[in-house]
Amino acid sequence: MGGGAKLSDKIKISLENTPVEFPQNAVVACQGVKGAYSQLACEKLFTNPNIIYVNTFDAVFNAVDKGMCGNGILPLENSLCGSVAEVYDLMKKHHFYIVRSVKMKINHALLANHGVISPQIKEIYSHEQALGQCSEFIKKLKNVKIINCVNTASAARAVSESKRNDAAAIANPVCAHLYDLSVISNSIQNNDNNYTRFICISKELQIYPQSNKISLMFTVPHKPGALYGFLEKFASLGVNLTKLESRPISGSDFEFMFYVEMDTSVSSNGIKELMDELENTYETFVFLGNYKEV
Amino acid sequence: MVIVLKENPNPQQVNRLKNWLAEMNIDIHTIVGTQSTVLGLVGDTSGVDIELIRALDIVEDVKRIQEPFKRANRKFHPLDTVITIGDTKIGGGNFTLMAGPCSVESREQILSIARDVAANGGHILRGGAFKPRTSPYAFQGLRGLGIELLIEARKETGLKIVTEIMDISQLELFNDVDIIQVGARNMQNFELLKELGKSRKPILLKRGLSSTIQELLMSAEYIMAGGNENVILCERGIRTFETATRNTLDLSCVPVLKETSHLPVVIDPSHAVGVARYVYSMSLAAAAAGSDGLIIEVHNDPAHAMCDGAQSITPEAFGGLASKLSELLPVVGKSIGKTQN
Repeated sequence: MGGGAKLSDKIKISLENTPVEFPQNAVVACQGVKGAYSQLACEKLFTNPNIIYVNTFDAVFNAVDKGMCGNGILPLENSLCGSVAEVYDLMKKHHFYIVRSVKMKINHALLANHGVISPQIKEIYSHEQALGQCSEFIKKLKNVKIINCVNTASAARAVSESKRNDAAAIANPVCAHLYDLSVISNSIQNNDNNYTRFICISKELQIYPQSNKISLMFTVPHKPGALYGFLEKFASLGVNLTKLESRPISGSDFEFMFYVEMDTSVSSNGIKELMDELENTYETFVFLGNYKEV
Repeated sequence: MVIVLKENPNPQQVNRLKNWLAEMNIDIHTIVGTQSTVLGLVGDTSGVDIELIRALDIVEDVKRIQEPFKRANRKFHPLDTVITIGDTKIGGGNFTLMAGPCSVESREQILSIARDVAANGGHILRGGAFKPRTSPYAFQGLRGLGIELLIEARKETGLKIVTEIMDISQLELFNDVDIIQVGARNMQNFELLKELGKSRKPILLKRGLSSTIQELLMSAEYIMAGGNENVILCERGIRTFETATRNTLDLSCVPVLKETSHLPVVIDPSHAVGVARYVYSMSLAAAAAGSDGLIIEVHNDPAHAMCDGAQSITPEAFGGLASKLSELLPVVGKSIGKTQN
């Protein structure tokens, strides 16, 4: 987060400078191609986004960091498959803030070129998360080869461009229309309660009114009660933690980076002061933002 | 740096990319080809994140250009540049014959040679009005009057005209000239090159007698940096230890220039060898090597020419050469006198 001003001062400045309304138009980086869930999430957040498609999550962070886009959209976790590990790992590498999050109901369909019927399909293309979310459906298909793609919509596009009659993609039904494919089976996810949370990131710390979620990233020393000591401070303020994730720090001997999300805001009693205290106490402590989920 | 875009990229996303690059003070040069669009970036691109650009969905490939010449570089512009002057095309499969006397001597002389050049298959009439001579006592050219006579010859024969400029102060006199020649001795007159960069007239840029190929391309870059993309490169012999010929014709520059640059390459065998009887062989060799045209000294009375008579061939010899070239050129995939592309 850089030296200089205290975190609480940065938060105060941000509260004064952030507009009251979340913008309607923005240049936004999304991973994938047209029809990707990131696009659908982006359109839920912005009425008029100018979307720049990139092919990696890393590029979404980079596009925001290098000023190509004001915002970026990244999937964080899925209700069936858990966290998107790659995104969590990339958070360590980049400077960014979360300015909003969005929960999207995910509906997957099996898509193929027109005229193709289910028994003809020998290969299925999709993103690993989508493949995982539809594992039971896939298991029922016999002798089918699974091919990982960077994104569900790119998988649909690839199947369409290949013109093959033995390949199918798992993607949102929107992609059938976009890439001229037919829906062979709809709602093929293991559980209909399939949600993915996306975050919208920005290079600047922006805290819009009604922000009620805070995300943090930190490390604690390897000693008894270290993590408890960290979390206890929130318990004493009566803050509800909604997520705790740990990811190994590559190159270290089982050192971990922790990520927490909680239902609170910087305007709540004691939070700003606690942020300063944590920043001064822990070697790594990153305030990732205070935002609202829509 | 060059960015190769995928086929039919989303225009909104291309604009966003261009705006972002422009915000970093990078000059963008867009070349729309038949198959792909290339964005050539000029300026300090060290801060551009090549991996980020490569990750964009609209981008096919990104390459850094190591060479100091950018706009003249073929990586910037994969297809041959074709320069069009009325019905005459130079480059891209067209083989252009430029011929005429070393200098415009009189009305009768230039009109007579112009008729002969036109009758024998030439496309462009050359003739010096301002002459860069080694000796201050040698004939310096008819100057403004010479240009007027060339224009008169163009009117009568339909040939386009090319003539040499020696100084920025003469620029106004060249308003009605089709191609402005920058001579070997002026190849690194950077102020003159910059001034010509502001013009949109085709420039025939001759290689300096002791300049490297890269120096020639850097001079072309000077003109192109000003926005004038219409540059024709010309090899006219370089100075070596050999004395049997006036200079040594560096024909190996043709494949080198064709590989590294998209600009048309024209060969001047006359100044290179300095001996009329060697012009024929070297002209055929130049065509076979892949050049886009020749600029040859033709005089109706070489023995009494006021300048460079020894290297001038007669109109008949020029006609013979033109007819031989029309047999040879199809072999190397070019055609003489025809317009393609």
